[in-house]
Amino acid sequence: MRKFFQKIGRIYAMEWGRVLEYRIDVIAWSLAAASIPLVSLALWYNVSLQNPTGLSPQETLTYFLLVIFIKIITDAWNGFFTAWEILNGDIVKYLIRPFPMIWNDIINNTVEKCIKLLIPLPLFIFFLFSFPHTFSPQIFIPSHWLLFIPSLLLALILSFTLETCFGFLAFWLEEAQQIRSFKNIFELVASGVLIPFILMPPTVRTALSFLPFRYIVSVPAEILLGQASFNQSIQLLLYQTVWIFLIIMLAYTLWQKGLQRYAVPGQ
Amino acid sequence: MSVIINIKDLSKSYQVHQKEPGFIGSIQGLFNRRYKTITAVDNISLSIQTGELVGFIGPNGAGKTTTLKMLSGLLYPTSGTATVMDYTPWQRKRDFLKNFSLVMGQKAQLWWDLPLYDSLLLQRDIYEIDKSVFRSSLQELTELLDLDKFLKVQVRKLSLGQRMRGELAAALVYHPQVLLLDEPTIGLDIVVQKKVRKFIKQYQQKYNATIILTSHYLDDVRELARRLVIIDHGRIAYDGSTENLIKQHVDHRRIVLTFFQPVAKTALLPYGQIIKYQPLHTILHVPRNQTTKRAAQLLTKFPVEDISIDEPSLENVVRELFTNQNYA
Repeated sequence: MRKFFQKIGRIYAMEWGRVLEYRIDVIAWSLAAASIPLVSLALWYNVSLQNPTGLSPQETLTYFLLVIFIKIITDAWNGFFTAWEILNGDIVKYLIRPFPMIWNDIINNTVEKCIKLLIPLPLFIFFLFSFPHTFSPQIFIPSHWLLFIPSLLLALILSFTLETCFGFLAFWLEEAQQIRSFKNIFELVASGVLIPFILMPPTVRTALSFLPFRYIVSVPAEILLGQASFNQSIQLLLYQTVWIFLIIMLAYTLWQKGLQRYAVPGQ
Repeated sequence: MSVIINIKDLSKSYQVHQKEPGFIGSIQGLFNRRYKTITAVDNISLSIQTGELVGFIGPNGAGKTTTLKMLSGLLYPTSGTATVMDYTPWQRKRDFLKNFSLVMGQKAQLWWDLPLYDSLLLQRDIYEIDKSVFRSSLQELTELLDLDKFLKVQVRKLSLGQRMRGELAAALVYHPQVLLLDEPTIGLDIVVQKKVRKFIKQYQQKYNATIILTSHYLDDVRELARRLVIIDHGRIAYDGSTENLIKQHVDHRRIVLTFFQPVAKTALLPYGQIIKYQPLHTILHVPRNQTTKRAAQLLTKFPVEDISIDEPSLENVVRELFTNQNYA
């Protein structure tokens, strides 16, 4: 176990070293991660001021600021690198090592997330406690946080494993990156980043609930904002867990089958 | 010596999409895709003993790299079996991965944004090398590969030769028993090529490592490998020593003559085929079994200042083999 943590520690040290080499990226990544939810916030905030939609301006502001953080924390891009490395053969360097490749992706993901939160998180905390009346009172209820934190962790794992599956598609398809891009665009709608789930027509909401995307962004926000009762929250946590289990099984199958047919191109 | 690599009836085929040229071809490809099966490795069998250094040569697309990929566990074969250190490579067991190393051209194990030293530290932890062993191994590699000048420089800023030496250091710092080198000197200048060759030789002798080397540079193979495996069209065309290859497949030698007085071309014709003629310097092509007799005759009949008998170069032999396709 000590040796395992030594390896993890070394990769963390190297990832931090790599990320800190490029200081401008820190600002760029933070801004990029916040840009789409901020545009949605501006739009829906104005709508909520002029024409009540079911969400008050307070709730709208809280929801989209929350989405920025949930999105940064749950965002995963490992599929991009995985697909790229499969397609050009660079994955070889991981395949010949006696250490699972997935750890490199996990570490890269967590380090870059810390960097992306470096600017927005202190700002959010500052505004939350300086202007508490601007936000929905629901987010100050401690029991909501007790359910929100596990939900956020499950959302993070779900997003990461789903992205891994899309990366593994490159074992079969040269167009894996394009399919991934389509999934990312669809995810903006289906996860509640562009339109809160509560404002969607019931049929659309029901249909999208059968996909995993809602459980990546919207569900943690719904739980923290008290849009789901305690029982509903527990049910949502259970759905998240089931999705994770299914997607891990799928990822494992894709990996095993993919390796069997892999031709290591470009070498 | 024991067998460390054993290959039996190993084959690998790929399905390759055949696209018709032009716009119409692209549209046709949308509805009706045609695939062609390409056999990269065709039923090869081979045994390699512990501590052997074997050179794989062959033209592009012959199947050398595909064979190495299967032995590294990167590719699953279509049929046949292979064991490396008693492991089936494509099962990619941890103990197998810990004891072999693959260097494939410029496909880097190194982290581009960090100094070489960081990548070596990562290798230390991944391969669970004891700190004192790592220190002495690093010191040895630094001396043999002249790493000290660039050990702490970001990898992306290194020259091609420096990067290749860094790759070798990363591949060998944990002392693998089996080393698969695919074109380790490709793109390097002559000085660095020599350094790398010298290093491979020293490493093999010191650690009794088993090495398979593929290279387009026959100098690599000639200098390093006693055993040569020629692969062509996915099959083993020759397996044996370099000397035997030349003896078996070349039925002539060259006699190089320098005269202290000019000699007429016509006078030399009965002694062999004239490859190069100058009145004071001539090269003759003579049948291998006649070489000694002809040389003795030339020495007695002509004003010979100097005489030497050359074997044809490995390059020439291999070129002849690949172009004439007349080998056994």
